[in-house]
Amino acid sequence: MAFKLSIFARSRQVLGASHIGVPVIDTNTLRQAALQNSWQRDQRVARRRLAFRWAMWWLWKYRYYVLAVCAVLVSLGYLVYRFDQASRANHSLGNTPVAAPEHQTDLHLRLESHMLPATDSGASTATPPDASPPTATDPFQLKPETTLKTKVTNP
Amino acid sequence: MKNQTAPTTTRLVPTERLSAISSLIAEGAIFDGSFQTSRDLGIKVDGTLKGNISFDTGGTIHVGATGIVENTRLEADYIFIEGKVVGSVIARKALEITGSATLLGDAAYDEVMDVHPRAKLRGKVEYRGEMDTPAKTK
Repeated sequence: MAFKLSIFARSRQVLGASHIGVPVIDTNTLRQAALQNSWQRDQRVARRRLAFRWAMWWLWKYRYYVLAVCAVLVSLGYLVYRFDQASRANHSLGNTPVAAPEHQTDLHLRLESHMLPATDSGASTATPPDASPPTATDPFQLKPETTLKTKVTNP
Repeated sequence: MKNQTAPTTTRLVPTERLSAISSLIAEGAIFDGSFQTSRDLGIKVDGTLKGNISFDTGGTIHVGATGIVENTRLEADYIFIEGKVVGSVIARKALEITGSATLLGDAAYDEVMDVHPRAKLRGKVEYRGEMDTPAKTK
């Protein structure tokens, strides 16, 4: 007997009594509510689609102007990028000490010491390099020609 | 003396006709078959319908913006298209195709027709009314 009572109690819990007394929604009301929802959704979708169609039409109609504007913008962006790079390079060069001339002088010294005769080599390395331009009479300053040239004879 | 003019609506299909929709194919639903009645009812398609819709007398067909009607022949007094229709359309009174609509097929109407800007329409359009008398609305 107690078992049967518990079953009834459980079924009463499953069914619930909350729906009892709540009026059933009228069919007309339900239909109007569904239509309202549908219209709202229609409005949203139609507005979005129409905007997209207008945008596509506008883009296609003025595509050359749009392309020109895009090209100008890209060019400006590229110029700004290059200018920025150049200014950064200048900035970094301005901060570093000037070491290039010393390096060039070392090279010049090394070449001269290599090409001068052995008797003057010690003196030449000790003295600073001559800054005057090389004269054509000095045989050690001549450079060998690596290309062949045809002899031009005057008629 | 009041000099007021009633606001002119650009909608050819009256609002009371659109509010009198009795059947609705909801968005996401696919209905395969034909819909026919001889009563003056209305149907709104928000989902997909593959088949004909025919009203012998009266009738309002509203294809919503999300609605797609394929392989069809729509026939009613008032037809209002916001979605996509593939097939022929016959409106005995008013046919309205909004800017979000796409109609791939022929359209015929007896009284008035309105095609909004940006509507996509590919097909023949035929006026079936009298050419001499002015068209009536409503």
